[in-house]
Amino acid sequence: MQFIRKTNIQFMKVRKIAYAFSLTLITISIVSLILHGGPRYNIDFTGGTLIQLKFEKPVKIKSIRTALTKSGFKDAEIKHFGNPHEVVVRLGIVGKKQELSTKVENIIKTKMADNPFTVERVEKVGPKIGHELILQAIKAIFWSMVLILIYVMWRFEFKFSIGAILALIHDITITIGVFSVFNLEISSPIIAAVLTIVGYSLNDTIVVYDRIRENLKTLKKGSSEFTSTVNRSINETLSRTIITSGTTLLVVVVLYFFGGEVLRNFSLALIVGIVIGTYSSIFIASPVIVDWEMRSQKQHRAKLKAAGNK
Amino acid sequence: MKKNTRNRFFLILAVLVIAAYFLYPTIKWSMMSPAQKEQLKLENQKAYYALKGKTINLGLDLQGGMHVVLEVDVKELLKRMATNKDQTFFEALNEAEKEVERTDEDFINTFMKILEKKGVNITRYFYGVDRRTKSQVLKYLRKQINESVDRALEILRNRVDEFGVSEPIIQKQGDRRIIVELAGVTNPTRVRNLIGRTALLEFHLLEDNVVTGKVAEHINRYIQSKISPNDTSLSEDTTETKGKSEKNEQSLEKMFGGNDSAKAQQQTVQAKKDSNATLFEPGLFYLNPRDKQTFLVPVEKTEKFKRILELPDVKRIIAEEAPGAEFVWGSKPVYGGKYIPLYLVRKNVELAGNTIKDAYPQRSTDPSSYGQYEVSLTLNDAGARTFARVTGANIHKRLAIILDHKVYLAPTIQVKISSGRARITGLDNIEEAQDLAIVLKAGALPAPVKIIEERTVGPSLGHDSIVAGTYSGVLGLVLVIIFMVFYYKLSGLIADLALVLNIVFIMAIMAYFHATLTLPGIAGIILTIGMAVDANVLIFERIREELGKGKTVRAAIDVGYGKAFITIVDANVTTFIAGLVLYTYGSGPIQGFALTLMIGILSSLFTAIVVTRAIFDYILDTRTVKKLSI
Repeated sequence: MQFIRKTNIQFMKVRKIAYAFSLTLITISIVSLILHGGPRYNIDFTGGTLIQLKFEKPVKIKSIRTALTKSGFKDAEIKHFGNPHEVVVRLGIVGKKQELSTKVENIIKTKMADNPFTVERVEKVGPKIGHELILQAIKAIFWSMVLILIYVMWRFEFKFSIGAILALIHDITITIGVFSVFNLEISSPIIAAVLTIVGYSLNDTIVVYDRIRENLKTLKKGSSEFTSTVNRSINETLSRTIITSGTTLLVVVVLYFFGGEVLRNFSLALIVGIVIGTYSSIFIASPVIVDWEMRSQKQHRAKLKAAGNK
Repeated sequence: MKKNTRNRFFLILAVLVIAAYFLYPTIKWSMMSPAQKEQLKLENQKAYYALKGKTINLGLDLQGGMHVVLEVDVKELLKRMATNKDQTFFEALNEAEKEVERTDEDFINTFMKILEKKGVNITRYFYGVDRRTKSQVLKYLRKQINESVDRALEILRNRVDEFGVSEPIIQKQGDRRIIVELAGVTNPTRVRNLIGRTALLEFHLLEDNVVTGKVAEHINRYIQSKISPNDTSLSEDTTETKGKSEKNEQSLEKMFGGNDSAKAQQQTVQAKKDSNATLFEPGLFYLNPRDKQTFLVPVEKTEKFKRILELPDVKRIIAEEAPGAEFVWGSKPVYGGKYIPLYLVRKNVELAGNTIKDAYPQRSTDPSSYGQYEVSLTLNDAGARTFARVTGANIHKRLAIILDHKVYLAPTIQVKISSGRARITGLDNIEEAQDLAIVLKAGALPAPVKIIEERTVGPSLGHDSIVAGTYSGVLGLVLVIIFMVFYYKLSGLIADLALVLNIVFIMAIMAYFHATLTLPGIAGIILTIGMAVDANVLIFERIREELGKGKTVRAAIDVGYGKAFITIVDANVTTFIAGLVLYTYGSGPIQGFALTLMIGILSSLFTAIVVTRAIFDYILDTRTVKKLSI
């Protein structure tokens, strides 16, 4: 059984359209980030307190909000967590009071005595830790990109790594952009998902690169068949690319729907990342190599012409 | 079957057997009920911890529990160390606190700068004999901060049992922070109070040997009566013991340089178990033959003996024979970690810990105890006076140093000390001396800590997470298996077998290293399921290609595996690098994810390349295959 038999899709011909499409996505992401004043961090990075409560009966957010506002907690952010019984209450750093969570619990207990609850989870992050985690996240993203690119440069030529870098930046920006557009929170696990995508997307890209390198071996330098060779390579690996991304996507989609609320955003980040990552391996990383090669061939020819005219 | 293939099969079989061996403890552990686990812990502590140490450790987000990060509360510390505190001091302190929160700069520097802005020199509040200049004061303050972390650590470790959790983790992180992890804790408020409570250091006298000996005798008789109700005579004859008891005594004799008085003091009991009382058994405690004043309880019997001490009958014995005294446990095991000391301590507080001015470790100044270490102790005036009285009246008696109700040391009073300066001698190494100095200073200068991060997960959420994670994992696995068979037919089935083995191997490796499985870790395993097929897809697509070019089945397989190999390694290296970076920079749960990701990649390389190849080779060797089902 084969989904994809010998294909001959003209990927290279449509690359300008792909560039335009990607540019649009990136622009939307950046605009959204600017409009929202940056990514929407959760307490991991901003500091604060988060309490997850599970009520016996379905509970209305309004009632909790009134109870808290009356006791002075005006800026609490309250949301349902996966179902009408569960609620997360998020508070920013309020003074230096340490026992916020117990206070909040008591308030809700008294004001809503008819609906008993259990505390599922409490998370408190001081501002210092928040800063540190942001720093760690940036370092992690930076170093993973650097190390991976060193590896690509070692295994392939320079122009290959250009394509890889651009594809990576493309993937990271759009993934975070999606989260920004849908106003979803970025937490530590989301950064972990982004890093995983960095590794995984490159995984894809390398498989294509490998085939390109193999097929280019037989060509002479400056050959006019460069573009078509790259195109053929992508077609040859297309079956594998689609299937692998497909199976990984399959399990992550299952995780999204059945893995519980705690993992939901994390799975979403992985889904977006895998889709965009596969797309970028085909439509960004490889075409960039072609364009880079075209450019250097042009320059080379110009040099020859100039030398010939002398 | 070719030799190569046969060897490969043996290798795989060997790996499988090892994996099953690694996984057995985890399976056994997960099938035990909490009651059974409690029972095992009581019966045989060693076996309990040995079993647990070989299982996959569940992260706090899966078993429920509390994770707390503590940092020295520098503001509190300065408050307590300073003299001549005035309005300016407190104002500057508060301002520094606010600014540090904003800028994350060093507290002491900020505080000093603010004071200077107010026209005050920091030395005004911390003046001392060696602390006249600004730099000296700063050096002193920083030293105090660093030391207080160690103090807080020691105090928390001392309180370990009070957390009510089976294996609390209390560790230093960097040089300013302490991490506390308590699995299964259900009362965060109590934990917070425990952490914030000031340490209590006190000096008590030990009950004398005569009384202690009597109490030991009575308790021993009581235990014996419970073991063999008809035989209430003390058996001091150690020669007729058998089996374990005999081994215990012989080893004790060896340790204490056995002589007659030692034998007479050893309170061992014949073994005749009473079927009702599993609590009572021989060898529950011994009287230390060296000093005849301390009890020694074997480490694995401490739980049992604690229960015995709670029994009303035993409490009555203590009340009758030694009124005004109580049992206090030692803080650390002795004699190679085999026994925990137990002391009979007079309830009266002879000296309070807050009279200590300073304590520091040093090499022994006595020529007679060369190579040993001691702690030099300085008391304040009120303390010196009390100390003089106490030491004068109790020469050759033992004074127990008790921190948070645990006896740290009970040195003998050699001479009356009126100067307020004492030396505690006879410590074997520098660590012991350092620990003791830390403990003594804890009484003088507490180590205030504040909680900068706290994450608590309730047990029900943890349980739900496990269920959801396992369910999606199984579902994902089934879907992938079906797809592979559908798309690659029989070859797909082979790849599926490799996939299942892969998961087994991942779990086995984690069990062997007692690694921690977190919720993101489960996600990592699930992700690996999706990614592990990749290697096989690469190989199979190549094989299909080569078959399409007209190669024979065997040739196609050879070429397929050969060409795909490089690509597989290349591709997985990048994801592995990402995992490595994540592990380095990530926090607990994230590290769990990175771990399963990396282990999964390594394991999938093995199963995809070695295992499936072996199966293919086996098929090719044992039958002629004209058309490959792929």
